[in-house]
Amino acid sequence: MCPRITLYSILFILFFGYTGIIYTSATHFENSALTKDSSEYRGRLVFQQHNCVACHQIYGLGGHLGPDLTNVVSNPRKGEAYARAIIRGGASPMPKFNLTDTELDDLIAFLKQADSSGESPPINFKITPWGSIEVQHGNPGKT
Amino acid sequence: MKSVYKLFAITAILCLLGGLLLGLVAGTQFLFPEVLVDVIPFQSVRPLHVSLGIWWIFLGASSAVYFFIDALVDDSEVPINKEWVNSASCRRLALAHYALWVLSGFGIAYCYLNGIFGGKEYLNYPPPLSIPLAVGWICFACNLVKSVGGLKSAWPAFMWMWFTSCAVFLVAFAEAHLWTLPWFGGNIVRDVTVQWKSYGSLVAAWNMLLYGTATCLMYFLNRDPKMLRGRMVFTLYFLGLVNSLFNWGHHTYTVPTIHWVREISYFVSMLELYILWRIIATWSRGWDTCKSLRCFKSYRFLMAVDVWVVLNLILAIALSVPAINVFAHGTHIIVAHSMGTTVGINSMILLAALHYMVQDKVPAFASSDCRIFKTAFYLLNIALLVFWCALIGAGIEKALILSADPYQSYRLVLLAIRPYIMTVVGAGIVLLVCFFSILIPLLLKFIIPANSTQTAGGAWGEQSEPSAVNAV
Repeated sequence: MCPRITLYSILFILFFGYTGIIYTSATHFENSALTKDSSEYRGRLVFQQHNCVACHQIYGLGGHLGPDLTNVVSNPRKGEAYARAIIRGGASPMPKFNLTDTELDDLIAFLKQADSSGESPPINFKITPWGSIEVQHGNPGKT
Repeated sequence: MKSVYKLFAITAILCLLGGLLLGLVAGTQFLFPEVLVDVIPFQSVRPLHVSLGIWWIFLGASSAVYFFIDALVDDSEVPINKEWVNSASCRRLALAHYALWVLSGFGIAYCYLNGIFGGKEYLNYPPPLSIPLAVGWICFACNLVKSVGGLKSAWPAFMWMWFTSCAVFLVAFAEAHLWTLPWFGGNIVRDVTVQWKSYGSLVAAWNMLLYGTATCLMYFLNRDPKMLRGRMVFTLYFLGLVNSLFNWGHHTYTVPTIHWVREISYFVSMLELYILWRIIATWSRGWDTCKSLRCFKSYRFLMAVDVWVVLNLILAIALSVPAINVFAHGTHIIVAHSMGTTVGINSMILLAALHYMVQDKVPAFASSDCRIFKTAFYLLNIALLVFWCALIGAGIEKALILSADPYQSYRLVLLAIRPYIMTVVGAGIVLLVCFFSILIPLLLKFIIPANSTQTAGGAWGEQSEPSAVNAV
């Protein structure tokens, strides 16, 4: 076979294999929110429907007008009650979204899921000699 | 396709103008959140600004591809399926592509303006609106396949780049909607990982489309056959392909995936060092070409692209080192990278192509020997450099504050970066003025018939018949 075809074939086989692994086992984080009826799942939809990501980040990915929300519910200076109050009442520049109690509970459940999966920005990490990092993710103490 | 490309070009330029204006609104709202908040809140401004920027790239690049395929019909080096390109079916397919993209564009803009969201970042609209976008892209891909259907000799590198872009876009665009399935959407880590895997590939898709366009344009400018099938262009194509398939992980270094995903992306990212080295190594040779072609607006933009590629590659390579990324991630350094590449590289390539496209009809317009153009061009690049540096400054400031105290009040972080953001907005205003000075005459050349624009061209201080244009 032509070396060029062999090279590209290997590349695509590697890509599909890699993609399969990413889809199935790229994370150690497991949860029970894999149904559309779960509170966490509905909370993520609330997060999307109000485009929270325009201002906020999850794992450092998103907007820059508001803080990263990955660990907001376990933040020692904020916490769940603080998050509920801000979401309910708004605080400039954040608008008041008039969420129902169920929507608010779902959103908090989603934020708790984010919090239990890891830390952002990472606090517990080690820099390796070749410039990579070893991150200690997950916090068994969190729900 | 003789006039369809103009529709794409006009719409693309309008998208860029709109995107620039909304960028200024977003920047102002970042500093003064109450500004226009009742008319258009920040959560509508940001996705609209980003979407208009993305549409500018895709519509502009599609316009260039249609134009160049048409222009290649009589080129013996790149045989094209002449029958298809000149057929009514080809034109109809291109019009279907245009109609589907514009209709879904209006739908998406309507949703954003009315606070109707539901998607993920960058594709914030309700997911059904993605269907016409995907169908439109399939029309584009089919048109491209049919246009080179009769090609017997080896395909030039830019054709491979365009085809790869079509394929990667469709796969990545489908992947970007996997969150609608509970297996992906229900697990936040898997969800974020797959989302950014797809976004990395989507960016690679439009990069591939633009690099193909830039290579094709270079071929048209200097008729160098190396631009068609040279070893170097294929090496760069291969690296681009590897990047599009595997180099998305630097977006997710801090996401708790298994560690070797990070290591693979780190390794693949470092392949970009080769591209950086090649650009620097061939720079001195490029100056000879530069001396003969600098009189063209198109070539000036391509020269600017070279500089911005180097600056952004250095930043990208630095950000791909996990030990640096862990501090820079989630800061404005990432914004600097995305704005630097979108404006400095992608937009400059498109402006080069669009200026080349009007020169056939209006030769005088191709000359860069115009006072307003020169001023706007240099000022634009200086303003972009200030804009880029200020964003990096804001990012470093934020990273320093949060690495010292991860729980620091965000209000204090915003206060600390305020001077940098003010600089960003100030430079943004200059960018806006420069872009308008360049884009309005260009837009008029596409809208007004050639005879009228040649007469009107004098108003912008252009020469009537530049000798350099005739030399080509």
